[in-house]
Amino acid sequence: MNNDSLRVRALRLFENSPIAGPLITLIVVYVLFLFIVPNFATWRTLSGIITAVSISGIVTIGITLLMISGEFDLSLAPMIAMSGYLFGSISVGADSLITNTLSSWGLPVAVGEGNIWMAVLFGLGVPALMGTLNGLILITTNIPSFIVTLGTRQIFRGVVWIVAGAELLQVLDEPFIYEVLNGRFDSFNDFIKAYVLNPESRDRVNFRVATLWLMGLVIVYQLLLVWTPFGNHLFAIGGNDGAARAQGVRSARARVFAFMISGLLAGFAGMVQFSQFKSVRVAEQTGIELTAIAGAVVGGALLNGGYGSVWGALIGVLLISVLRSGVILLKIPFVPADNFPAVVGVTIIASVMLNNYLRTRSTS
Amino acid sequence: MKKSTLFRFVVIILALSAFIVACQPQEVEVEVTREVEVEVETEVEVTREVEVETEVEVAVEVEVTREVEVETVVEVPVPVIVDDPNRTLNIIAVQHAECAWDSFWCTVQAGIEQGALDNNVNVTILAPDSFDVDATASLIEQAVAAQPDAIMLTVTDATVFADPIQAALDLGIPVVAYNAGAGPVEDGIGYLTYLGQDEYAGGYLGGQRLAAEGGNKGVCVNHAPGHTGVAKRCAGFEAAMTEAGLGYEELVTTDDPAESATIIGDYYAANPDADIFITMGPNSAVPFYAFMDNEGLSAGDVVHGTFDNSPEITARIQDGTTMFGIDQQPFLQGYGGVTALSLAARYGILPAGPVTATGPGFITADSLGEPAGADAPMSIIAVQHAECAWDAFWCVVQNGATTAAEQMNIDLQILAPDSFDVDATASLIEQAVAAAPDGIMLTVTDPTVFAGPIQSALDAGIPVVAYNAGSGPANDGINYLTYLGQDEYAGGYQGGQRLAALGGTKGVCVNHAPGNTNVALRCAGFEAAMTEAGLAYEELVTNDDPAESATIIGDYYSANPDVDIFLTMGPNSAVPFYAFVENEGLTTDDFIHGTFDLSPEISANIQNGTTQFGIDQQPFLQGYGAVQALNLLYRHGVVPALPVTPTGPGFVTVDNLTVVQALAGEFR
Repeated sequence: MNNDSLRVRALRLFENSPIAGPLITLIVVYVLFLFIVPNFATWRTLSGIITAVSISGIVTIGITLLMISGEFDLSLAPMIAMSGYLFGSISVGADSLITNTLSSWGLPVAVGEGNIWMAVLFGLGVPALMGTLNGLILITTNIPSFIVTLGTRQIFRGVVWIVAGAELLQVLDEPFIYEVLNGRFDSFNDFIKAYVLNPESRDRVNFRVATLWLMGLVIVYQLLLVWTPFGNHLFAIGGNDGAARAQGVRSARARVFAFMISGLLAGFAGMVQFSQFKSVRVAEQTGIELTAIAGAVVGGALLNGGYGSVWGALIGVLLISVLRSGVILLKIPFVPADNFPAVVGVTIIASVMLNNYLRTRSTS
Repeated sequence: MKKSTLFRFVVIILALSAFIVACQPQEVEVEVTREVEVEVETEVEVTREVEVETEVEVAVEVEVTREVEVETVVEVPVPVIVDDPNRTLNIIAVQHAECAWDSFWCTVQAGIEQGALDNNVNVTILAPDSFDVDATASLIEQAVAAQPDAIMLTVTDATVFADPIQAALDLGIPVVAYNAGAGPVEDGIGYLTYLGQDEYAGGYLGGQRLAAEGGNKGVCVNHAPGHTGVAKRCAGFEAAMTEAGLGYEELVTTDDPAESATIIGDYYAANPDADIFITMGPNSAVPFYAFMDNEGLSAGDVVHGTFDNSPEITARIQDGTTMFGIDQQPFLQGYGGVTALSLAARYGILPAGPVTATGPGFITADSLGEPAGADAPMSIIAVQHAECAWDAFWCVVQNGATTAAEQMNIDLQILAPDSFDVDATASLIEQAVAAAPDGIMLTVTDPTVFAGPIQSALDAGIPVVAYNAGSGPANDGINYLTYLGQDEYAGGYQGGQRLAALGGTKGVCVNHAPGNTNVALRCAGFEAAMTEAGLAYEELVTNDDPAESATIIGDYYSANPDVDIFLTMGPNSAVPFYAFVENEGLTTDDFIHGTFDLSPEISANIQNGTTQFGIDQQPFLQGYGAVQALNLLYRHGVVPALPVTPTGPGFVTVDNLTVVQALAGEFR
């Protein structure tokens, strides 16, 4: 086996995979930063980069599934807020409209007496229902999902408003479920400190449990995407809906299901966020949909569907996070934290150019 | 061959990075030792230069700086808060004169009665039968013996009254002074505040109005030389003249009106360029009018304004001879005294400054109309850039506004966008104007964008007050009535001073709301304090995602390890800050943190020593005060005294936390 054939085989492997472009970019940028950015080659920075995507990463998985099937969901922020309010109120029995109403309905929760299982059920279930509603409106009206969710975004915001009693929720309690969802991952942090870090080093390790959840979800949904008929259907619908239907794909059902998953993940993101920060407001995470779409696009997904991967999307949001940390650590005077969106803009366009280049080459 | 292009691309990038690495200078580890200065000077004389720009109509803006010396504050004991804020309070008012024998006091007492009605308070008024300092002092002793929930009184003689007032303070009874007094600092008695006219501001603002009419030289006609209050009026007037580039002189007259008219006439003959006159009350206004008649002068020849009011002054205002009478608003002295005590005794909300200005209130030809009356129905629309639903801070503001509206029987409607959005807020103001309420209260987050909508409200004759966000009518360039809030710059500045006093090398302002001019002022004040203390300063912008923001602060900290002073702009940047502290495993020895605003989490961190202070702008008072100001104007014809009505800054530290914490989230 000569060098050429090995090289060609390696390249083919990359080029046939949607994550080739983003992965190369991520590795190149990360390695580059390792060398040129002071303080970048630390566990503190690495764990910071990963923790920063703990919420947006989870949401991006759902957005990616939708984008592969050619759809959008612009109504994720109110779902996150809804989940935060429900999960937060019920888990500790906060003195809020939610707790009092549910209690008056005879459900097993009261002020001061939280109910963790019910909190999880509501935190995941209600946003999943909201997502399902998006999907149902989409398939019954045939209005593009961009428009449908632009509308439900406002409607959901209003619903959250009412459910929240128009008040911010902030708690000081720390039930165990918060540790499970997004506590400090100290067993791992301590392991790194004990066996990897130089004892003299003043480096910090700040992994959180949310990272495990994110990794788990990425694996589950990537497998769902590539190994199950449902995943294949999403690709088929996004590639050519008419052809997919002709092949017997139940397009409507698959799309509603994709919206439900997207809502479910938004709900989970809301729970993860509340577990660490213990506060939620009605306008929580406004604009996260666009961050997630940017992540998915940088990660190789196509805006008109039929192409993309959950891996790629994770790589996309990680790439944005790596760039942010690198830029701040570099102390470039004209790109402080407030001018970072410009860096993201350049990244999006450059990444899509690279992705397109690789995709056309691999298909030719 | 195309595939090898990609390979070359990768190789080139790797080569490039290797090259950059090779060029990178070796990093040297530097041991950083922090020296903490232990000696802290306790008495610091702060001379602050305050830019006093008030009148919007002044064509040529000349900046005049007024030096304010901040004196050591008299120890004001924290008053006891009543068990049930909803019960009727008992307040005793002790005054040196009364309506029965001095008609001036009828207005004060009307204010007290209206205040009692609006605040659910029983007020008993005690006064001697004639002016008698000793009799008044023993009335104060009687009042203390009755152990009411609060006492309001006139400090006619600070020496004689000191002991009886101290007896009340020792019992935890909140005390305010009204009409007569000089404030707790000058009187040397630790009562909460003095409600009366800001004499300097009266002269200054009056001078600006007169100078705006044009002229050469201003004259302060003083019939009471040696009277400190009157001297302050002249000083303020002189400052306004100097600012406008005009000449100034003080002319002393006597108690004899005929003699005084001649004195003014002689002076005018010797100084024909004098064309702006301000008189200190009826006792110098009456001779002034005689002088005008003697000289055959008419309204256009000289410009005249006066302190106080009388039937003759009212008539002269109506015929255009006199531009204005400056009213100390006795109604507000009584009304405000009751309100201040109710807020202190019920909710622990203390007056922001040692002197609470009830005047100058300018009576002009435009404002001589009748107010709507105490029973008139009234509607107010509040437009704010944030609200309770997504920012805990606003729950307290709204609670203040709704509490006031309920007490005063006002129909209040609150409008706000559902995320920070200047344009959306501007269109809400337009909506509010279209609804034609009796008053609009709003937050001036962006004076440029809001100028148009606010002006359309003023053109429609709707009174407008600003609260929480703004910098006063002069700085905003919009002619609304007053701004209720803290001096944001002073908040950042004083906060920075407290943090710098604890030692440190570099301060960072953590800003989660870039583009908010209000927050920018806080950072600017903080920067000034850092620079003054010889420390470095930087601003760090975070965003709406708390996980991302925590990483941003962490990255910034590792890029700038010398940063050890942090000021956060409220719960939305304090929450990620606490996550950052947890991530870095920092202890309270590693950094010094202060924050604007309060929330349960911030209070908990003040308690455990992580956070030095929360800067409390008394948001309850902003909402409450804005509603009250519009109510007083519309129903009682009382105008806000100053362009900026301070509600803060108040510092919540571990020392007063317990009092504040009991009220946090609702009233504080």
